[in-house]
Amino acid sequence: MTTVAQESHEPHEHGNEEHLAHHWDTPKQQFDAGKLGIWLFLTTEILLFSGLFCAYSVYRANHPEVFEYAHLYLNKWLGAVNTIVLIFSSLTMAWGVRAAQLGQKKLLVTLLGITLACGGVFMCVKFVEYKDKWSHGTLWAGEYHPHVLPGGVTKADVFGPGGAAAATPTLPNAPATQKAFDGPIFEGSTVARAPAGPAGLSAAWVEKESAREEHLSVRDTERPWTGPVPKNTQIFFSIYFLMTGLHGLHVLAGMAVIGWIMLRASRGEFGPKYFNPVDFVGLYWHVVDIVWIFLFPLLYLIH
Amino acid sequence: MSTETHESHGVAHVMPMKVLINIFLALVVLTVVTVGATLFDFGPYNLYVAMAIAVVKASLVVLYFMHLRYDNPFNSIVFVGCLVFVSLFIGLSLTDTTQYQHKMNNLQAEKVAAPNVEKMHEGGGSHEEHGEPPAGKGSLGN
Repeated sequence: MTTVAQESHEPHEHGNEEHLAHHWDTPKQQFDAGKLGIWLFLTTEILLFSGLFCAYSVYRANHPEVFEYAHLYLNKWLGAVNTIVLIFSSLTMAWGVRAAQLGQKKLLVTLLGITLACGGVFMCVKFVEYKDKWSHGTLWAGEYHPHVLPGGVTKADVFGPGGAAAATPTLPNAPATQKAFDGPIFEGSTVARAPAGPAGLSAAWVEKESAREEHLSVRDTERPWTGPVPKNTQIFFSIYFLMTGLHGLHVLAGMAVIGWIMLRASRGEFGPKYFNPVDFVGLYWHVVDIVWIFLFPLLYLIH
Repeated sequence: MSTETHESHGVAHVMPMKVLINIFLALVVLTVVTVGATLFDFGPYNLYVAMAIAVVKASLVVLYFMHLRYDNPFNSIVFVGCLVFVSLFIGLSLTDTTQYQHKMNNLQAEKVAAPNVEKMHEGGGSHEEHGEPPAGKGSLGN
């Protein structure tokens, strides 16, 4: 850039500004234009996410019970840990911009390293959560085949080693589709319990069913789920995976660009006169943090 | 040339360390508050309490971590303009979204057994009833 600038302009104007591209008059003009550009990009990011927030709002307005029930599958403590991790990474990023502005090269590289590590921790926690969803069968739309109830209660816990198919009693008023563990329509407990006895349910099943209900209320003693298990719970998980998945991709992209500016910082490319890429990557990283600030209460803390 | 040094130092505002640490602590406290708020039931306002806390947290990040408070005001116009369009988008989508719910419930009811149709029609009118369906009856059909 320097050579281009020197060839096309008066050498004495830009000679001292190593990073000033030839089409800018001053470093401030270059910085302000770059910053406006990154803000415009961030608005498109916000609008992209707002499409998913809109889907969330419409479905939650129509089916609040689906969200109130399905969020019990999520571990709010893992969500809270990830929130703190991202907030801390936002601090180290903002601190890194300050370090770049003050020309503290070693501190800048260290802070960018911590920010990168925080992104890694976030994705590891996300991996643990996704793995649980995978093993519990609580995936999106047609892939929603829960093997467990929100308390982590398994088929075997409820129905014994034989599993649902063997042990689910035929209930007098139950439509054929109502099996607790079969497919997206998950409404086993919407059926009022038949009386125990020779004509109704076996005593063993009633006992297990009571154990299951107890389990459900034990998991979250403040807000036990008492109503029927709602239909179409898969809607929640479709939205959950789309929102957290898109956010996770943004975390990965953020980690890539942080790695890139960390490399450049270690070469000593940034200082008080030129720290634009650090600032702009930081702005992007903060937006990723802000999206999570909204996702956390909307997905994990429903009540 | 004499102005150049001045300009490169004046390119952007340097955030004081104390402000950064205080904003971080405020964000951590607000995260604890939003988790703690789930222990209390504000009825229909639960969502609004959680969103209000999230908006405060996001504002702190935007104003201080993202320097918007000390930035070129034009960037604020761009950002607030974006928020206006987001609220139009979500707000207008929400205005009529519950209007068709009873029709969809009727449609679903036709697919299931016939005796369920009436019950679903009763329960499907307003989404208030969806919120807390009484155990054993209501919009879900049984």
